[in-house]
Parts: sequence; C-alpha cells; structure tokens
Amino acid sequence: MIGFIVTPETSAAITAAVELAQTSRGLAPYIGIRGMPILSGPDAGEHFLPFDDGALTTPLHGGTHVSDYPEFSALLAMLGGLESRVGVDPELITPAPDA
Amino acid sequence: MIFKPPIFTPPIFAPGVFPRALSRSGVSLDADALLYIAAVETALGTPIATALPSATADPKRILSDFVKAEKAASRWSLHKRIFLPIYNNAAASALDMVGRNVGTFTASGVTHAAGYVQGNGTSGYFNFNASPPALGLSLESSMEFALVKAPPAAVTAAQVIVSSVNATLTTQVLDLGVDTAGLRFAAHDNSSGLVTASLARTACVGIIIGSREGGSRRLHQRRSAFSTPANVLGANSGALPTVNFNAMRSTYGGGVAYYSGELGAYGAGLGMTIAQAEGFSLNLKTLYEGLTGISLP
Repeated sequence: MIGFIVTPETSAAITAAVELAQTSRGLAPYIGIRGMPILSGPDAGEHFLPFDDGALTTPLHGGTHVSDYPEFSALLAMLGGLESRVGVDPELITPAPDA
Repeated sequence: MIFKPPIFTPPIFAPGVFPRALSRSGVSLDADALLYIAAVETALGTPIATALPSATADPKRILSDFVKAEKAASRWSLHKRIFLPIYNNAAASALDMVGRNVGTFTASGVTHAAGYVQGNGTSGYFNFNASPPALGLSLESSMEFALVKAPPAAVTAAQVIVSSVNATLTTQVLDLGVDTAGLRFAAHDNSSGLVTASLARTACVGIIIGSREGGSRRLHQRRSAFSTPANVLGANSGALPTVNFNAMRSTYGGGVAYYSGELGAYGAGLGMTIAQAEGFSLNLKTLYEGLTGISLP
C-alpha cells in the first residue's frame, strides 16, 4: 500500500478536512480518508493514510478530480508532497475503526 | 353583421393532469426512479445517459421499469439500500437508489470504472453510513446482496463483500462473502448462524443474496439461472450488529478481509422469501445488463 505515515492527530485532522471540503460545498461526504493505525514495525503507533495514484484521478462530483480542489494542494503541502509517500506492508496495518 | 366567435384553443394538457415526466411512449416514469436519476445527474454534472454509453435503451426507462417492477411485486418496501456503483464517478456511485442516501468511498484503494467498482483488497472499501438497526433489520429479517461482475484474482482467505460486525465479536455478525471453499453468509453468529455453499472461486459471481427469513438462513445466486445453494432452518443466534454496513470488507476488528472482486451493485434490506429473492435477482439482472450493456457472468 502506498500513502503517508502521519501522527494520529494529523490523521484525524486530514479526515476532518476532507469531509469539510465536501460539506462546505453543500455535498454529502461521499469520499473520505481514514488513517489506519500501524501496530508493528519502526512506525508502530503512527497512522498510515492510504493515497494511491487512483485517488488523484477518481472522477468526483460534477466530473471534478481531487486536484481541482484548493484544499488538496494545502493538505498535500502539509504532508510533504506526493514524493513523500511511502510503501507500507499491509501486514503491519490494523485498519481504522469503522464509523 | 357576421358574428365571429372568439377562437378558443384549449390547452393540450390541463394543469396538474400529468405531474410526472413522460417518456417518449407517453407512459409515466416512476417518481422514486426520477428522484434517483435527478440526484445522479446532479452528482455527475451531465445527463445520466452520458455516463452509461453502453445502455441498451433509455437509462431513465430502464431504471423506472426496475422500480415499478419491485413495487408491483410488493418487494420495494423490503429494500433499504440499493447502490449501483456503475457510473465511473464516486459521487454518483455513492448514491442509494431507495432514498438517495449517500455512502462514503475511501479516496484511495477503490477503482471506479464503467459498470463496476473494485477494491484493492487491502484498504479500499465503501461505507453505507447506515447500520442494520437504523435500516429496520432484525434477527428474524435481514438480507445483504451483491452483484459480482468478476471474482477476485485469488482467494487465499475469507474476503467479505457486504458486512456489519461489531468490534471483534463473532456473535454480532451480518456478513456475506467468499472464502477458499465458496460462498458464506453469517446471520448473526459466525458459527451457529453460518451457511455456506461450496463453489469454485470463479463461480462465486453473478447476483449473490444472503437472507435470514422465515426461520431460515439462505444463500441465493443468479447467473444464467437462479438457485438456492444453501437453505438452513435455525433459531435466532447472536445479536444484530450495530456497526455501519461496509462493502468490500468486513468491519470485524475495525476492518479486515478486504474484497477485491468487481462489484456492480450491493445493498441490504429485510429478509426475502425464496420467491422474492428469485424475482428481485431477475429484475436486478435486467437492470444491470440494460444500464451497462454487460452480461451477468
């Protein structure tokens, strides 16, 4: 899996920001990002935010894409850019709690 | 003097006589179908026909016919969520046909394509944003279904297609999925409430329905024909889960057993009799093949 390794606090903030980007536009949150706790390995205790290339190209509301939203650039800059993504062994991940 | 009466041109349609949209044939389209279509078109930003270029007829007519048939057969009230993730658009594919409720896809890990969505088998899934109790399901009456367009490339352990499981409990379960032996449906205990059907990986396709109804737990499948490969009479077991339904994974332990097959529809509702499952699955087959031009495997 490819994505970002962040602190649990940053993970929660990203989740809320993605939801707000939709609700602030009068949309139901039909797409979301949830951090997955890392249980073992050198990053145990941190969260893994999945973000593959498909996330960039998925057609969204009105035919837009993730890159069309200004919040995306801001979040990506905060995370260090796409180049900061890392590959993580799924065996190290415990999926995030369901809503 | 020649009396010339005023020319009276009556309206072709009196106001309010035809409140519903008319198809070209003059037959009205179903109101619920029209609401769904409007929501989909708002999400797409284009007419629905644009997103369904391979439809075999007017998509609005196809959708209306499906809803009308379910209502005529007194099955519509059984359905609580029906999702058609066929539009190659996350916003449109997240819309429920029954009440225009909205689910949530993970931004990463789900591929959207014409006619289906596909989870990556490790992190991608869809949250119905509704739990079994919220949908009115019960230990005596519950149902999950999915339309599998293509199976996972490999099944080395259980993969769950539609699920609601509380925490790490094996006694508060509503799971429909596959494992190395075939299909499996658990309502509401992973042991005493489990029914299975022995099928090869490549045969776990088509419309699959898990139904708890009339004291029985059943697995139904429609491919070219309809069958009931599992039908087990049994008392209530376990407890009704209270976690939101997910598609493409089990909610056990917060999320495991991710499913990587191609899905063209999924949903949940009240339990169905064998006859109801047979009728619904045939109607769903007609809907899917008509909208997508893809034959049910």
